[in-house]
Amino acid sequence: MASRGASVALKGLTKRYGTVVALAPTDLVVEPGEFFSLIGPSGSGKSTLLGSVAGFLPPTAGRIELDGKDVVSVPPYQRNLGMVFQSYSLFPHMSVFENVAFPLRLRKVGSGEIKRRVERMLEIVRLPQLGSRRPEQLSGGQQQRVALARAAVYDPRLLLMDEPLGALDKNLREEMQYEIRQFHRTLGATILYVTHDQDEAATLSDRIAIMKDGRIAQVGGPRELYEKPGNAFVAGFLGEANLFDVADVKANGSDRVLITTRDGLQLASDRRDASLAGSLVACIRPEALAIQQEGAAPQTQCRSYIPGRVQDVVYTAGTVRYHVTTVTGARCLVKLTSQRHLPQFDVGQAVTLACSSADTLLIQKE
Amino acid sequence: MLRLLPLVRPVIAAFVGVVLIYLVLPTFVVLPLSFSAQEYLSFPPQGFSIKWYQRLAANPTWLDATLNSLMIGIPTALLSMVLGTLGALAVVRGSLVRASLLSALLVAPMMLPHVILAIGLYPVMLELGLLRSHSAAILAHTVIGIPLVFLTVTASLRSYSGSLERAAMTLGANLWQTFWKVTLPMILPGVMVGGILAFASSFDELMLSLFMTGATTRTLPRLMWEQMSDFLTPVIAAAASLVFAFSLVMLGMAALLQKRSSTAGGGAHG
Repeated sequence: MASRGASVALKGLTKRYGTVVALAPTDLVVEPGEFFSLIGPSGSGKSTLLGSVAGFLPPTAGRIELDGKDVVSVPPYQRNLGMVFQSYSLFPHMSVFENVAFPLRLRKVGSGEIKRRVERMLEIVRLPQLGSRRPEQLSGGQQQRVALARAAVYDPRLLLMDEPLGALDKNLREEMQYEIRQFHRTLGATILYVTHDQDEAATLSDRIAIMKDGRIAQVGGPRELYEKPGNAFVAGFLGEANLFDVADVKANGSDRVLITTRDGLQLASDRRDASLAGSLVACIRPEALAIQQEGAAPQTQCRSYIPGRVQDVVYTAGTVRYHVTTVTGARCLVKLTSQRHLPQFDVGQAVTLACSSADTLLIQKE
Repeated sequence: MLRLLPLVRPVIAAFVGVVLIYLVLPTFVVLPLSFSAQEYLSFPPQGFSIKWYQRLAANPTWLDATLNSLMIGIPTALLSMVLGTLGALAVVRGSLVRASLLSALLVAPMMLPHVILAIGLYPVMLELGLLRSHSAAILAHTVIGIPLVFLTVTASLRSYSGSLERAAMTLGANLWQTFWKVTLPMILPGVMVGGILAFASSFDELMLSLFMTGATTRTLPRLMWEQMSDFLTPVIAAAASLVFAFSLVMLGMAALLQKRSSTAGGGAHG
């Protein structure tokens, strides 16, 4: 099924408004059938990129290739792609059936065929009984499922989704994420998905591009981006990270380096990329840190030790978060899965944080 | 404050009642006047008769004037609907740099005294040889009709997001199809209400009609105005009452359309 998706290739795609750069020259390749997400803070250029692919924002420079053909000069209504909007954008003056039939009627499909395809599509989004309703009679989640059906009923090989779940509440959003996954598997179309919700992107996507200031900061699978962030922004944007500015890096044996942070902590890290240059930061994920009583025996796999004092303890379902102030004054977050046998620490208690050198990442600051 | 409420409410209600009476009573005065049995306009009227309505129907001048008003009012409404809708589309959906300036210019004729407009249009129409024709009045009335349509259609367009049109385009509708299948059904109530208001404003308009029309093209308000200065019989009250009833029907239609569009979210399409 995956072969039914279109390939997307952006080559030097650029969008400027006067002197304001909304999208710096950007290259990107999305594989056929891939679920690809663009995430980033508002103003990072993700919607500009999507709008250019849709055809609403003519790019200042560059090429947009769908299946190898440049479509920059093709108007949106001839690009044959499907789009789902945050605001659903169902036509209120048409029934659910007529909304889904709309793109087929434009394509002069016969009425028997229209009926068959619309009904099949409404079944895929699990709304088979609601064809005669008006959009306003449906819930937000149902409306967005109709919008999905309408965007896919003419078998476009590329679907664009602009924060489709942004207007839904949290529970419904999770349910709809599941729906969209199923939808993608059933149809096999390539999906280019914009969201500002990192969890949503990680749940849905094969690959993610993290955008900042009109540029792609990093592209990768959810796991790769989390475990091997390219810079401090990516590390901080996708999940939580304890970041320490690095003052000095010394070789320590053949496969390890010794890091001295700007505020004087000593951390051990596995030697990583030789191409690292300029300002560096050490990154430790909150769940990679172990917390132990001050002066407790060192753990065998841990090579970095950070002494500090518990500032705050927060329990949420299944998770304990310790906010620790290190002796050097830095703030550090420790995230543990709540388990009965784990020792508990109180506010004000002196503790030592421990981390393995494999989990102490040395990355680029910018 | 809460304990005062039972007292405050009837006071407010009474005040609102007085204001409403103040607003509509002068209009209603013509009704009894038109049924007066006296030979001249006086208040309060004496007796009851429908002879003024009979005399109105018997005089072809009144019928001619009514026809003139319709022949000017209907094209004015249609022209205003087209131009006002185009203006609203440009301002709300277009990517104009000076959209607010254009918007102000489009609404300006509403604020301007009609006499200024009339003085300005007079030499132009004279030069074009259109003076005293229906066309002159239509063109002049369209100037004041456009802002009315512009405002109602602007409101319609602002009531829904432009992503509806963008959605239609991604689904394969070209600009023309997008307008006819999505935009127009959405704004149709606004266009209709604007058209009715434009027609009503043309139907009531005196100043421009005085300057633009002649003996064969004079409108109902102009005829009433001329009769007022010459005869001052209750025939005028009878004519005014009929115009009033007609305007009321149109206002009712406009209100109904507006109500329908606000409850059905546009629904003027099967």
